[in-house]
This record gives sequence, structure tokens and C-alpha cells, in this order.
Amino acid sequence: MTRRALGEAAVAGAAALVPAALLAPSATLAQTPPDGQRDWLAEARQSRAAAQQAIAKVPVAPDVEPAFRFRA
Amino acid sequence: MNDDVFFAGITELNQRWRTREFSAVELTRAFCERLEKLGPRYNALALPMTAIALRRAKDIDKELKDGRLRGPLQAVPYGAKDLLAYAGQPTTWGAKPYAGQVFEETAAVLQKLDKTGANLIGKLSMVELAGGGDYRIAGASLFGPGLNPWDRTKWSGGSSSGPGSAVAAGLVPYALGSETSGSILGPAALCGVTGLRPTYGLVSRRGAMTLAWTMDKIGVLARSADDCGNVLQAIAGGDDRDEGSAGKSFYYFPQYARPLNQLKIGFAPADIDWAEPPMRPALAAAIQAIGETGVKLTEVEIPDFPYGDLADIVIGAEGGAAFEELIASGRVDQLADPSQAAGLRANLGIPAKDYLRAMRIRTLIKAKFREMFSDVDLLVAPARYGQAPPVAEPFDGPDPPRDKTPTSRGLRGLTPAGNLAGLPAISVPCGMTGTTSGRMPVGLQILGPAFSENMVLALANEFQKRTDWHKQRPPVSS
Repeated sequence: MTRRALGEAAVAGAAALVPAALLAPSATLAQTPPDGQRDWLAEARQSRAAAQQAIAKVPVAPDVEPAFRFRA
Repeated sequence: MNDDVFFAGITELNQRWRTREFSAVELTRAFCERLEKLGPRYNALALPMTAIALRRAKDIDKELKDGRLRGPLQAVPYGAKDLLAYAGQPTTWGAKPYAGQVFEETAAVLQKLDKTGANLIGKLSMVELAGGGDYRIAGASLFGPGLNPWDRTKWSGGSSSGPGSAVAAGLVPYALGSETSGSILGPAALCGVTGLRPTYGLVSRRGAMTLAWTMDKIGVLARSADDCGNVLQAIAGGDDRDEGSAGKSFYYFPQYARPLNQLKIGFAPADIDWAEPPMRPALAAAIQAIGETGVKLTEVEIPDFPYGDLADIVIGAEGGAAFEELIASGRVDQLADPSQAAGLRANLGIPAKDYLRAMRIRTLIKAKFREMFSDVDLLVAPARYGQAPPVAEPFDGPDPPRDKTPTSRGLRGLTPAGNLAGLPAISVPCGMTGTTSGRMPVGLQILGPAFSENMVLALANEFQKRTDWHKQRPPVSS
């Protein structure tokens, strides 16, 4: 289950509480074109770019290693 | 066979078989007929395995005659999400491009269950490719949208859609599912069953579809925490053929976990307000019931990280790589959800530096949760903050207006956080929305440190001794 299916789109970044303005139906969504006219690839790239920007804001010291060979 | 049989727990079914109230053949036939008849009603059935199961049931009955008793799972039928391979039978991963796929080797978990005398009666439906492209519709599946037995106009959750609805409707006593980020807890909560996501590495994924190597887990959806514990004992264990394997076994002994009156449980009052209004009374009552078990409740807040974004980057990068051939061949366009196909394509463009950054942040998350678990033993939170959405509506529609904005993060984001940190969690039914018509299940999540399954299960067992939400049945008429 990915984020949209989790129903947690509004918690995109826990770094800041979601502004109240974003909790109401947004103007952007209201203007979303019908499915047949949507550019799914462009939307998907935008979504990933937004995620990349969000994680770029998390400070990580250079000596923090990736969780490769991941062990819980 | 009486309808009560279809909603009985594992140990009861096993006991009634051992005392010869019914044979394994009779039990298997009854469940197979029910699964074949009612499974399509919920789009839950991927592949009936009746002929194979009935042959196996004859062998199991002979074992009883010969005095070869193997434990609580013997003779009990079950289902498996269709991302687990069964040699010689189709394994579709819920996706049209893989509709004709057949493997030569049966998944490790199915082999392990076979050794306990458990009887696989069918493969169950799932969201295509476990949703790796970020699906936006319930219909993102070769089998159609997963329909919720409590209300077939509502979604059953995903990606373990078939396991959730099949267990809820009494079509199987339990089912194996998988979770990368929410795919067991979500369907369990929405369908009103108990779902256990084990610690990363505790259960072998050999023979299971890969979505994200560092996040995929195999787990259980069942009628109770006790049933989940018995199944986990059977499927856990090290496997050199799974690079993520922790090399650990699991023995289900919740009675030897620390006494509940010695446990400190973290919760967040703000979680109630983050949940949709119809869910709040059930969640508030559930937290109160947890407090009445003798544990000490203490307020906590989730460490501050963009969990959803991190999960998107890790699952996207790993899933893009895992399905690179599908994407490059263009067969990805056969998926039912065009948004998923586009998402998988976009995943291939995630830069290595961002994947590595996400993986480094996971190291920080693991450390933060270790720190949190030096102060509390377990966390409780809503398994989902929203109700089952209508199958006819996309997930990316406008959010409903909120009646209040909590002043704290609470534990919101715990599902992707727990998955990023590889931690075990269970969702237990904890109430219903509404009072009469339109009642839908609500789930409570209990999450613990790595390899703390017995402690998680002990609290879930106690909760289920004090409540009967896990015994509620949806309006299924045969």
C-alpha cells in the first residue's frame, strides 16, 4: 500500500504540521482535468520531485551510512 | 457444516478435527466451496486450489489415523496472497503482464506451512505489483477492486486485498499477506480482521514477488492475535536464500513476555483528532481499554521525519529497479491503473543520491526509534486515520474538510515509519464507525521494537480477551 492508498497524503512531511489551508479541498485539485486528459507521467515525476525536495531538508551528517544490508 | 465453523479460530478448528468432529477432507471441501462461491463476490479469489487441497486433506486425515500430530495448524485451510509462488500453478502478482507466469519452486513460507499440515486452498487477490507505482484507484488489480465484506461499495484495502476480505467473510481461517508499507495493516483495519506485520527479516521472502528488497515483509491476516502468533511461529526462521533474512526463529510464547503491569505504552491524544470523526469514539475507547489492561500509558510524539516521502523514494527506487525489464519492454502499460504505469516509469528517474540519502535517513530513524523504545515498550495508534474509501472514487481526490487541526503530530505516519525502521506491528479490530447502518471496522495498531513480536502479541491478546470486536461478522449470506 503506498501513500495515497494509506490515506496519508496530507502527512507528506511530518517536519511541519500541515497548514490548515492545505487541509481543505485545494484549488489545485479542484482544477484537476478529467482522467483521460491527465499527463500521468508528468504528475508522477512531480510527485517524486516533491519527495526528493522533502528529504533534502533532513540534515544528515556525512558519517551516517545508508541502511544497506538492512537489519531491523 | 454450520456457519460458525467458517468464523472459528485456528486452534478451535484443529481441536475439532483432532476430536474427529469432522475430517480434514470435510473441512477442506466446505471451505473450498465457500471460497469458490463467495470469493468472486469480493474479487478476493485469484486461484482456487480445490483439487490439490482435497488430495492433501486425505493425507492429513491419514496422519491423524496414524497418530502423527503436528500442531495447531494441522488440517486447517488457509489462503495466500498471489505474490507467493506455488510450483506449477499461475502466480500473477495481481498484474496482467504476469497473468501467465508459472514458477517451478514453491515459496519458502508455503513449504513451511505444508510441513505443519496446513492446507492451502487458494491464492487470493492483490493490488497489481503490490502497488509499487503508487496506485490511485481500487481497481488497480487484475482481479478488479477489492470489495469490503462489510460494505461492497467500499474498498477492502490493499495491497493484500484478497487476504483481508477473505478472512473477514469467513472464506479462509487465515491468509498470508505481505507488507512493504501498510499492505497488511491497511486491509486488516478496513476489513475488521487481525493483521500481523513481522519484523523485517524474520520471515523468508524466497519465492515472493519483490517490490522493495529492504522493506518487503511476509505476514498474516487472521481472526485473532493468537492465530497470528501460531502462524508466525510456523513461517518464521532464517533463510540463506533471502539476503534480508535475520537468521532468527520465532517461538510463540506470549505468556513469557513481560507482565503487562510492567509495560509502558506510548500513545498520542492528538491521534484521535487526526482520525476521521466517525472513527474517534472507537479509537478513544480502545486506548482506554488498553489502559485497563494494567499497562502504564504515557504520551509520546513520533520523531520528526518525512516518512511518506522517504517510503516513496525507497520503494520507488527499489521497485523501479526490480521492474526495470517490465518498464523497458512497454508491458507496464498493460497495468490496470495508468497512474501506476507512469509511477513505475518515473521511479527509474530517481537519482542514486536521493535513494542513498533516504537510506541514510533510515539509519537516523532506526536510531530515533531505538531511543524512543528505551523509554516506552510499545506504541499504540490508529492503524488508519481514514475510513474505507468508496471503490468508485480515486484515492487522490480532495481531502474532506477537517473539523479540527490538532496541535501535535501525534503518531501520524507510524505505518510508513514502522516499515522504514523494519519494526513489527499488529492491527486489531477496535470498534465500528456509526451505530446501525453503514457500520465499518476501525483498527488499532500496536507497534514494538525489532523482534518484540511476543510482547506485541501479548498486549493484543489481552485486548482481545477484553473486547469482542474481532468476533464481529460482516453480513455475509451464503
